[in-house]
Amino acid sequence: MKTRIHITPILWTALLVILTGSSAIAQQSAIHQRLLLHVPELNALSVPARLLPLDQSEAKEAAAKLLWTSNGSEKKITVAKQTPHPAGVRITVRDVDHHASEGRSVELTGETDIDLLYGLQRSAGACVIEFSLLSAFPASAPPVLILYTVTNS
Amino acid sequence: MKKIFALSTIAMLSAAFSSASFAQATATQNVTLAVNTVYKIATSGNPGPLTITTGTAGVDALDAVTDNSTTYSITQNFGNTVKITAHMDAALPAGYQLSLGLASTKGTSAGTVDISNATSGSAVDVVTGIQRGADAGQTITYTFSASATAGPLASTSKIVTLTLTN
Repeated sequence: MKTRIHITPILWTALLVILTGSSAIAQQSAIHQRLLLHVPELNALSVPARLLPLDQSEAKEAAAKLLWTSNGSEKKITVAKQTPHPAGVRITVRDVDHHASEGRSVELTGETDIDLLYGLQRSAGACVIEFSLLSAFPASAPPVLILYTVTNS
Repeated sequence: MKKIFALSTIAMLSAAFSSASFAQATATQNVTLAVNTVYKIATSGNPGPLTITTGTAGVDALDAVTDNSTTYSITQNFGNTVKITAHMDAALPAGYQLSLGLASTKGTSAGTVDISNATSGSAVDVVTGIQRGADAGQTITYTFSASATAGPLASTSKIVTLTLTN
């Protein structure tokens, strides 16, 4: 019985110390903020906005770099000649990061969209595109305007 | 004899009144004063939607968006080792990053801290060494970024918890 009398106050003291210590450690205040995050499908294309040095008389090749970024799935890049012109233009793709379309060559004869790069999957990449004339351009020919489009495959 | 009696009466009355005028009572009270530990943190509200709207062709990292429209205020009297931690209700998927920066004049801001994977069990310090006192209207800056490889993210609600603690 004596032993019990001595131990009980010690236990209570220890418990009090523990509770006091826990209380000090647990002191805190919290606040919440609600955020709304959203990433829609995004597509970006870039080509140099300049006239390429395409030699009209010799149909010499000229090169430009085409860059793309898309976070969508199953995308392709199409090309179309926007300026009506009797002469055809050939576009050849090389040095492409997305190897599925490397070496692809398309001929732009009209304003219809033609697949240039395809099978793009959530990626960013670049390729060199080369132009060549299929027939001689008249000296007075206007610039050829080419439209690139990212669209669903 | 009558004269002596009268004088004695006057003397006694005078003594009695005099004693009454000097009488006083004193009471004491024990007042216990205490200031408990105070921790308070509040924000001005919720930030606006963080929507990534553009990217640069040829670059996988889409253009990050930032919101610094909200502020926080704190009051604490605990000590000079108080800090603010931050965590989210759930981690972000791979390829998305949410960073948080809290300005501070009473402590040391950790700058822009990635909280994309900070959950309740792994909260990260955003301000440390906060001294006793109050710090009001400090700017909260959120930066949300994503890669093209990660793909689109449907509108997602996230809860960020700021905790003032020792």
